[in-house]
This record gives sequence, structure tokens and C-alpha cells, in this order.
Amino acid sequence: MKLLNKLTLASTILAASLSAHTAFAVDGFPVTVTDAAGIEHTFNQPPKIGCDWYGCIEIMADFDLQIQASEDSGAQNVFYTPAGLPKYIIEDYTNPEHWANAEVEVIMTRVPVSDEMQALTIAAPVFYLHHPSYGESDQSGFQAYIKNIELIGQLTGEVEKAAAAKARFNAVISNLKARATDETRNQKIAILFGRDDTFRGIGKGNPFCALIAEIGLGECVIEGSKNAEVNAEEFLKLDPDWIAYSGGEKSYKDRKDPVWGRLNAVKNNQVFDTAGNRYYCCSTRGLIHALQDFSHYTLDNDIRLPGKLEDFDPTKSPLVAVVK
Amino acid sequence: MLDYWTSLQPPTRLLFAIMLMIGLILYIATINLRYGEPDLTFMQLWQTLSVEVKEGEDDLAQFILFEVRFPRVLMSLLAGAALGLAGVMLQGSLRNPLADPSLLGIAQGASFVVAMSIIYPEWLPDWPLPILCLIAGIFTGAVVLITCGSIRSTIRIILAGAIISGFFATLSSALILLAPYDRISGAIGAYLRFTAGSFSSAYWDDIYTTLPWLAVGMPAAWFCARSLNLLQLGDEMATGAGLNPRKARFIMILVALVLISPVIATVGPVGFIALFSPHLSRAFIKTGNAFHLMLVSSLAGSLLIVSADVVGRLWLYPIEVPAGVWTIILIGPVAILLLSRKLKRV
Repeated sequence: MKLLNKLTLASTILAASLSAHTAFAVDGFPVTVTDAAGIEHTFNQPPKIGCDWYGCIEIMADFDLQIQASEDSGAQNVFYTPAGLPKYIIEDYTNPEHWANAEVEVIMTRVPVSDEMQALTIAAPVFYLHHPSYGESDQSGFQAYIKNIELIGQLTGEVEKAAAAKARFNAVISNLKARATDETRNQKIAILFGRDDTFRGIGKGNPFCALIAEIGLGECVIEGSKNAEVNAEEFLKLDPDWIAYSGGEKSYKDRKDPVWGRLNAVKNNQVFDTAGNRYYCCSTRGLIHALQDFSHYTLDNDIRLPGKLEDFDPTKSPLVAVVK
Repeated sequence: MLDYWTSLQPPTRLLFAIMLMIGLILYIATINLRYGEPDLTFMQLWQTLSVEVKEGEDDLAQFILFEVRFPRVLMSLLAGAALGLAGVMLQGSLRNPLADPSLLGIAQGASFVVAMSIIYPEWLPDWPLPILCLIAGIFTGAVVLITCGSIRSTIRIILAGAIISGFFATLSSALILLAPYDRISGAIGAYLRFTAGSFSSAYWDDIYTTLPWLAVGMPAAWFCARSLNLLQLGDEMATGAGLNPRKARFIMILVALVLISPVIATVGPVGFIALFSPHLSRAFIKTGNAFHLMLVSSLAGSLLIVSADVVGRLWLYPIEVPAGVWTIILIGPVAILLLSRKLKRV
């Protein structure tokens, strides 16, 4: 019996020392990262990441890293994930047991901090990313998504991949900036959710709107950062030059309301159905997809359409490739 | 003042009530027609209404007035009248002061169909939405009546209604939660707006869709008024007077559904109007006479909705807040009080 106890203790110590050895073997670890909610997280080695938010999934795809678990089956189908699908699909993201069973070591979501998410800390620490459209953090506009790349880069130890993703995004910005003209800078843009005959769209504070303003591809006409419904009369007065219509299964061609027919963008045939739905959220990868779509219509038809999100590889985007 | 009002003869009270409500409706409707982008003075409003636009001319103010504000006001009046009338029909036929499309699950049944039409349009037959809502309404209404066993038990009907409305509300949530991401992006906002009840996209087409239903439902409701009065005396006396109570109730609920369904299909289930308008009217004209009650309740419904829509449209302008949000905020507490009083009596 004593021998058995000694053997057990010895194997435990051996396992612990091996584990410690593995942890210290990873360059740059242990690492302490402060998330968007101001919570500090320390990891001795790259954690197995569970993604509760698309922003996390997209950045992991950008880094060519496999996700340990993601929140639902829909997420894995939407994005092009070269490293493969998540190992586990979390059916109920509010259930800590599901995350624990998936052996995640950190759960990534976005601000704001919520009781619902904090309850998951039983399973694994919850790491909050920036998202200007949803909650308070010290990052606004598309810079919030760049900051998210840096955070996940630190957390995964993939600093080089983070730098590459940022460089790719900055290249897109530089490339488009070089092609922007006074005409594009003065364009008035509306990005509408077109599930019904209302004028609900994304506001100037949204990362995509902030980005096109920065690049010089136009100004969004709807005020604020929330996705509010604007009165039809007011929208008529705002009179955008271009309307990007994000209606899911519904096309802008299905709209029959009288205000719609009166808009100059409609009269001038400057309306288009967006490819996918990454205009309003969640990462630089999504923004590149949206920018390629947007610039095809509003800047140059020769920029090819980005195609479906699940087939989209930003490294092959013409917006990146042109830049030397 | 109250004594004076009570001392008046019922026809005089009715006349005053009608005149007062029409006056208030006109006043609030005028506010709704005048303000927005652009604001119009009374003179401009009159000129815009009276001046004929020549062909080829492009008058924005006239367009906004005739194509945007008028149909919206008209739709809110029609919806209010239909819900107010339907409330009288439901409460009278079920002899239940708490009967209302939401409490009976009719609104949730129809909302489920609309949720499906937003997220999975291909799952539904290619029929007009009001017809689909009518079918859903009839189905939920029938299930409530079958499960509660007795049409006269207030508690049973409310409980059965709560169960059915909970069932359909959960089904709608499940539909949204289980939908793939690309289906629900933007759809949640549209669905929430719909479930609140909004007039922000009410145009002439919606009126043309709704009017035929109301053109059938409103006169039919009027023809039911005598039966409704007889039912208030109890089934035995009603039978003695030559009425078949079961048949009469079935027809009245069907008429109520014909009034409710097109409203829900076009603007959503505007909360508490069908519940509250009959009570407001009863308290005002101090009579249970269905002929009087129907008139005043229709006007009360119109007044409540047109007021809620004015607040929803202008309070946070240019941001639209669905009228149903305001009806719930303003009428909700009163309705809760009413509910607690009525339930204590049961």
C-alpha cells in the first residue's frame, strides 16, 4: 500500500514538473493581459480558447488557429477557417458545464460585462474584447478591432500573426486611401438593415462607418452608434448617395414603400445588396470583406466582389494584394 | 363635475363622449400631420392640402403629407378602432372583462406567424399575411377555448390564454434562437419592432390591405351588438330571447379575429388597446349597452393609438419608438391595476 502511495505521489510530481516544463517552454509566457473590461488575466501557456463572439472567431481564423470551442453551429459555417472547425460546439453558451466539458481555458466574449457571462467563470476565466457598438471600453471605431487583434495575439503568443493581421488591415486602408477622391470623400452613405420597410441602419459611431470616413470613402448619414430606426421623413432629408442594403434573404428590389422610390440613391441606381453581413460587426477580417464589397460598388467595379464569407480569405483580397 | 356627468341622460353622455373623443382625435392627428421634416404651420398644412400639384411638379411637403403622414395617421385610427371594437366583442362574448388578444394568446399566435415570415418566409404558403394571421388567431383562440373547458370561467380562460401565449412566445423565441446567424442578422430588430406594434412603415398599401377586412368586420360587429346585449343577461335569458349563445359566441369571436388579424399582420399587436378601450368607454359613458360601447370603444382605441404614435414619432425625433411601447408604458400600469381588481373579484 505504501509503495502504491509513493508511486502515486511520484507520478503526480512528475506530471506537475512536466506540465511546468511545458509552460515555461513557451516563449513569452507567462503573460498578463488586461481585457477590454479592465480585468487582468495571467496565463502560463497559450490557453485553449472558447469563442462566444464572432469577433473572437474571426481573429482566430485570421491567425490560422483552431478554436477549442465556439458558441453555436452557425458561427462555424459563416467564416472561412483555414485551421479547421472548432473542436467543440457549445449548444448553450450560458451553461458553464458545456464550456467546461469542451476543456476551454478561457472564454472570449465582448463588452459589456454581464452577470450571464460572469457566471461562466466557474468553467474558465471570461475575457472581454472591445466592441464599440455594444458596450463601454476605452476603444472606439475600428481601432477597437485592431486592439482585439493585439489582445488575442498576446494571449495566444502569436504576436507575429497579430502583426501580420494588422499589417494586412493597414494595407487595405492605405490602398483605399490612395484611391479615395474628393467625390468619394463627400459621398453620403446609408447602411440599412432591410428586413422590413423601415429605415433602420448603422450609425456614424459604428466601426465600418468610422473606417470609411477615415479612408475617405464617404460619411454615414445616420447619427449615433446604435442601430436605431430613423423616421422616414428624416431619412428622405438625409438623402444618401449610396445605400448598402443588408436585408438577409430580402433584396432591396423587394421594397415597395413610397419613400424608398423617392430617394435619389434609388433613382440613380446607387443601391446594392451587401454580400454577407459584416458591415456592422465584428473584426478587421469582417471589415475587409465589407470594404471589398463596398468599394466594388462605390469606388471601382474592377475590384471583384468578395463572395461568401465562408469562402473569403483576406490574404487573397485584391485590396491587400495591390499594396507593395 | 362627476355628479353632473352621471346625472346626464345616457344618449347625452354618449353624444358628449363621441364629440370629445372626435375633438381630441382631430387635435392629435393634426399634430401628427404638422410636425416632422418639414414642420408645417396651419396655413401651410391647409395650402398643402388644398393646392393641387401640377403634373411634373415635385412638391416634397405634399408628398410627405399625402404619402407618409396621412396613411400613418389613418392606419393608427383604423387599428385603434378595430382593436377597441374587438375588445368589446371579446369581453362581451366571453363575459370576461380581461379578454384581450394578448391574454388569450391570439396576438402571440399571430406574432409567431409573422416571426416565421421574417426569418423563414419559405416555410409559409404564399398567402397574404392577414390570412395567415387569421388562421393562427383562430387556431390559438380555439385551443384556448377547448383547453379551458368552460367559456364562462374567467380564471380558466386567463390561465389557458397565459399557457397558450407562453407557448407561442417561446416558439417565437426558439425560432429566433435556433435560426442560423445569417438569417437573424437584422431580423431581430424587425421582429422586436413588430411585436411592440409600430406605425412607422404604415403606407397606403397597408391601408388597402386592412380596409377590406375592417369593411367586413366592423359592420358585422355592429350587427352582433344586439346579441352581445342579450348575452350580458346570461345564457338562459339569452336563449329565452331566441339566441343560441354558443353559436353567437362563435360568430362574435370570429368577427373579433377578423378585426384583429389584419391589424396584427400590418402593424403588430399593439398592447392593451383591446383590453383597455372598452373599460375606458364603460367608465366614461356609464353603460354596458353594446351599441354605445362599440362606438365609444372604437374612438377610444383610435385616440389611444394615435396619441401613442405621436409620442413615438416626435419624442425622440428622428428616432422612431414603436407606438406599442408607449401604449404599454402609459396604459400598462392602469391595466395591471384593472387586472388585479378584476382577479380579486373572481
